[in-house]
Amino acid sequence: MKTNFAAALFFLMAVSYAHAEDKRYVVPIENSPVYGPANAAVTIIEFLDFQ
Amino acid sequence: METYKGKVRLVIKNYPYKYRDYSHMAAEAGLAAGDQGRYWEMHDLLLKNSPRLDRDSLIRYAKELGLDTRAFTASLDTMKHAAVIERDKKLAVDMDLYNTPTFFINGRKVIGNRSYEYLKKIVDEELKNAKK
Repeated sequence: MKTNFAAALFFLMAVSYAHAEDKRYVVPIENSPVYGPANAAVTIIEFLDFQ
Repeated sequence: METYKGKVRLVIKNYPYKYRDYSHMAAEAGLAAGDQGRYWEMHDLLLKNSPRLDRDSLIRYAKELGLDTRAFTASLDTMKHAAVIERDKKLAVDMDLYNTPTFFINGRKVIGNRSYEYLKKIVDEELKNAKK
């Protein structure tokens, strides 16, 4: 019984983790530096530290 | 980026960590070069030369690019773009980011230095989705 519970918990955690990865975040572009056309099919937003 | 010309757009948000010496100034340097229409060339130089990002080095890179170094240096010294950089930092903190680089590829979060192949795979998936 205990093992089943642990397995179920693990399963739930795995599922929620997978969902988190599928989530799509909205990041405002504002006046940040942009390379490439505004109508590009894919937009990559990079949070960057040069150092 | 060249492979995907016209299909992919790259946007940079500055997330300089507080405890690193030259992070903020390097972000300033990028935006200062941007004021002269040369952001991406400076961006490439900064990445290539990191972590050598002290003030003198930054001014040398500006000279290398043929920028107006007086305007560039004034921009660095007055931290002209501090408000924009702080805005980006606040956004990063609000989004609970704690790592650089962090990418959002059509909103899908990818954390940390990943191989080109890994990022390319996601970009290709997104391009495929877009065609549907």
